[in-house]
Amino acid sequence: MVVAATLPALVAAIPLGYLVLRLSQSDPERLIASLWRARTLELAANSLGLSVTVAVGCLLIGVPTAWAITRLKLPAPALWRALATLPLAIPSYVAAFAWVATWPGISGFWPTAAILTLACAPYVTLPVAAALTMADSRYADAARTLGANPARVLLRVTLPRIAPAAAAGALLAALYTLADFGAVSLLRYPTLTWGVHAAFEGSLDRVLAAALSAVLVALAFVFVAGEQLMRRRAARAVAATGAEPTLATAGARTRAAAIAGLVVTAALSIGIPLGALVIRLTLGVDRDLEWPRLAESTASTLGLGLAGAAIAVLLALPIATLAARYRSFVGGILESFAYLGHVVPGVVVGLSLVFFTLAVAPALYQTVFALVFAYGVLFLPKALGSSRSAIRNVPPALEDAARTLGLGRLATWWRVTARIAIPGIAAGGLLAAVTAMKELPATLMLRPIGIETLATELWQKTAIAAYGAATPYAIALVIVASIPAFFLARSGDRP
Amino acid sequence: MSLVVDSLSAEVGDGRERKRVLHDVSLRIETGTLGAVLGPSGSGKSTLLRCIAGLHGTVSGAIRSGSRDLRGLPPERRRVGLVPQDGALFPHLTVGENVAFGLSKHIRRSRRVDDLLELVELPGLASRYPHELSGGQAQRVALARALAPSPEVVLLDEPFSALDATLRAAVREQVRRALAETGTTAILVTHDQTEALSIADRLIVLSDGRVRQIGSPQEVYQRPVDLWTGQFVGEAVVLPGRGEGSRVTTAIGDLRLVDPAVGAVTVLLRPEQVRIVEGPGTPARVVSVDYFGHDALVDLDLVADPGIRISARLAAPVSLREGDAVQIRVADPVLAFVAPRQDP
Repeated sequence: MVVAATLPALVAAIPLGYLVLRLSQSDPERLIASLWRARTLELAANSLGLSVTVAVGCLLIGVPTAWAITRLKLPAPALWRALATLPLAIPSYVAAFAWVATWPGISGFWPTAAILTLACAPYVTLPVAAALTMADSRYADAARTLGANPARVLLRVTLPRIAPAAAAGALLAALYTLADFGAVSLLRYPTLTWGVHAAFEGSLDRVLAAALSAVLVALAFVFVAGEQLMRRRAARAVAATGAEPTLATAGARTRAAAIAGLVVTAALSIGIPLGALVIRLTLGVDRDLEWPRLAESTASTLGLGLAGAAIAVLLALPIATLAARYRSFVGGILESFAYLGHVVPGVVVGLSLVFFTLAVAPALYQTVFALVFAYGVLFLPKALGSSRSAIRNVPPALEDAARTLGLGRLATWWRVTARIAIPGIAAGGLLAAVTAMKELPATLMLRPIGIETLATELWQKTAIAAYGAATPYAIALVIVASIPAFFLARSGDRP
Repeated sequence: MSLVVDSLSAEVGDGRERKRVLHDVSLRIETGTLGAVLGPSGSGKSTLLRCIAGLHGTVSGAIRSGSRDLRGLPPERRRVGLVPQDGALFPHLTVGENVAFGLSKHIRRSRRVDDLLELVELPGLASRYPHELSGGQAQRVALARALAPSPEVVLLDEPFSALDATLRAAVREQVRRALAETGTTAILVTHDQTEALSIADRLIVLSDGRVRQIGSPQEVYQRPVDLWTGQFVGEAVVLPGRGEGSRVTTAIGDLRLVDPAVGAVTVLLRPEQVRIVEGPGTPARVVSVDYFGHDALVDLDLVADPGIRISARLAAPVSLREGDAVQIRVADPVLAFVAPRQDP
């Protein structure tokens, strides 16, 4: 079993591993010169500042939103929950596009931070809402009987209990911002991802591109380590006993304020971008839209996304089986290899695979295979999480019974384990497929000549300010991205 | 086929947490008979089953089915069937498909599945799904599924523990009949001594991974090898005594011994040996009465020695009440163990 899982884990480690190898082989003086340039430091500072600002912003929006939708008796609770989830259906660069297309002057740090914060807030809202729903009300009740007022209960009892969920969400937001390429380029705010892309496409300075990638990956690992440190210090979550949380009996004024806040957030994160897209579509489509081109790029987006997801699932299944069935040290290491795709930004995976194909398999350079492989590695974690829990939920007694009825290990896995876990595996695959369909930076670097996806079309048309022609692609991307948001919202109903 | 386990040792856990749970376990179950492994939880009985099935690695020892050495064979080639604790029917398959799971394609089309479902007295349920079955039905389907490929040995892991008491006896009887009809050698694992005594041809008492005693249920009940076994299998009354050869002096009189003993001993007798008598006996006071309908278990304290608690099994009707004063006498012979009193 370990052997079967080792291969996919090693495959998943190729992009990062090859980047490190490449860096170690390059001229040390040039490398140091690239790293210590003022421009490199500026890009790193921009990336760091933006990520931290977005993470903090997401906490400031996400925690109160989660509290409002779980603890207040608001009218139409399902509506507020849906509105809090919906920003996930708008890829950040599509939101950025909508703002820029409407007000072309928007650019720089604060607009970028604001747009990314609005796009990433659900990463904090959803886990915190789930934690609040599951949080046992007995602790809050006990605190109240010990003389604490509601504000003190919130500060001393509730917030510490949701801290791990909030920190995990903030980490996701920070990693997303660090890896984001589309929104920062559209809003003309130079960060490391933009720098890697510019060094690669513009100046063709591969050592610089690799050096910037290394800084980017290092920052990502610092974020992950920071979150892990916080989690270790936070109180371990105790399994809830299933008690219903008491709904705060807040006054009308609190509720009105909460509704106003929710409405403003929804308007900024969903209303304005979507509205702008729809208005633009009704105004300018007839003139600019090329139907065959749209159809063609939709087809390649779907095909590439599904193929990437298939690779991700294939890589995920042995690791998921190992992680779900056999707890071991080696298994833990293999599993963490698989999660590299979560941490290593798409632009780095793209760059590393360009190096890798050119040096190791030139026949694969700029082919569909390299691109699909990049999707497989990048979105392996999405397929893995859901497959692992699905396989873990298959009772081992069923596998024992199958073995004593004459089936070998592999046949048992295929006829019993996989057959029962298939919904979870498929859900993971779907999530990987849809995420792959939105991918931009790695696609820009690896796509074969002549093949465009919805994301690259949107990117290129925006770059030449052809906003009217870009709009249908933005809308197609919103439709694609709505699929996992729909599933997430549904799973949020039964925490 | 007869099943032979020869000085089997096994461990659980990984690395530093490795722990030996079976120590030199040896046993033999004759062809077509049913052996019951009885032990408290944590005694290693489930591990023993998993070793026989090939689902758990062994450290040393041999397992033979008839003349076949099962050592090193993967579970699918052992011809050892398993009925897991709660049945573990495949939830994505119908009852019929579950039973047919271990059959080859051409046998699957024959009447084999229907025959097996008839054998476990569930005809006509082939198209149901497991979640539509009751606990007792699921357990019997699991047995039919295990019997389908005609295994040489069937292992039953606490098969009746999830059933309620009234159902348990009926399902137990159906399972015993199905096993007897197919002439399959079987081992059943349980922590329920009533179950083990009533169903087994041969009883294997296991504690802390070691075999304490093997014998027919009567032998183990009437002649336990040590005090622990005597107290674990069946209800027991335990009191101190002084052996004088073939007799022993106790707080309830001078009693005849099964085996001679000398010096300080612990005397073990069964509640059904305690009689309430009119006329001369040892005075005692009723502490509590557990009424079971057909009989009752009465707890008594000796008037002269209130530290000694005696249980008596009395046939109904029982008119005793708490606090009643009675005279008791014990029907000889009784068992005596030299070892100090231990808790099971």
